[in-house]
Amino acid sequence: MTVVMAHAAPRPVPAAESLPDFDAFYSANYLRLTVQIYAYLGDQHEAEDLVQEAFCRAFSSWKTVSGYAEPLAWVRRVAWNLATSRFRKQKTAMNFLRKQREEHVEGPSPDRVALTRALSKIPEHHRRAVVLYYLGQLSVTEIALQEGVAEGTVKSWLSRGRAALGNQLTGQKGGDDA
Amino acid sequence: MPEDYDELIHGAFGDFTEDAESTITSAGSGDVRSKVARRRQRVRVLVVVAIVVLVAVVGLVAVL
Repeated sequence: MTVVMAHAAPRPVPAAESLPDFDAFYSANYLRLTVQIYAYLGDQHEAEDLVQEAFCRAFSSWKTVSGYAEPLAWVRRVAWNLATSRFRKQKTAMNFLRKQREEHVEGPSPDRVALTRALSKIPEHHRRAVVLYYLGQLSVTEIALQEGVAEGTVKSWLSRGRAALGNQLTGQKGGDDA
Repeated sequence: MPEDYDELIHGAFGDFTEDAESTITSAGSGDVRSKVARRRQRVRVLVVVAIVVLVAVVGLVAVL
C-alpha cells in the first residue's frame, strides 16, 4: 500500500494585524498537549518544559506558523520530537541512576501511577500511537502523517499497544485486588 | 480481543487526564513571550559582540 504524505502546505504569510492571537492559541492547547506528553514521558515537569519550548519555537516564527493550515499540528510535532529526544536521554540516564541508588517517589494518585507504569512497559512506538490516539484524539491518518509512516503501521502499533496496555492494566488491577 | 480493552483504556486515560489537568500549572503565554524576547536579546548581543571582535581583528591585522 502506498501512502502519500500530504504535508500541510503553508498558506501565504498573513499581515501582522490579521495574525491569529498567539495567547488564545496557547491557552486553548497548552494543557491538552502537556497531558499527552506527560503520559508519554511519565514526568509532568519535563512535559511542561517541553511543551513550553515547543510554544516558544512557534512564537519565534508565529507569522509563518500561524499561516499553516493547522498550527497545532506543527506545535504538537515539535513537542513530540523534543519529547522523543528527551525520552531517549532520560532512558540512558535512568539506566545509569538505577545502578547507583534506589529511588523513592511520592506523589500522584494511584490511577495516574498505574497508567504511567503500564505505559512505560509497552514499546515506544506503541506508546506514542496509543497516547496520540486515546489522549490526543488523533485519527490513524493524522498519526501516520505525524510519525511519517504508513497507516497500516499505525494500525498495527495501535492494536499491539492496546493489547499490551490492556494486559498491563488488567494485570495491575488483578495484582492490586489480590 | 484487543478491542475489548478499548473501554478500559479510555477510562484509564480519562482518569489520568482529569487528575493531571488538576496539577499542571500553566505559566501563561506571557512566560513564552518573555523567554523568546530574552533569546532574541541574547542573539542581538552575540551578533554585536561578534561584529566588534571581527572589526577589532581586522583593525589589528591592518595595523600590523
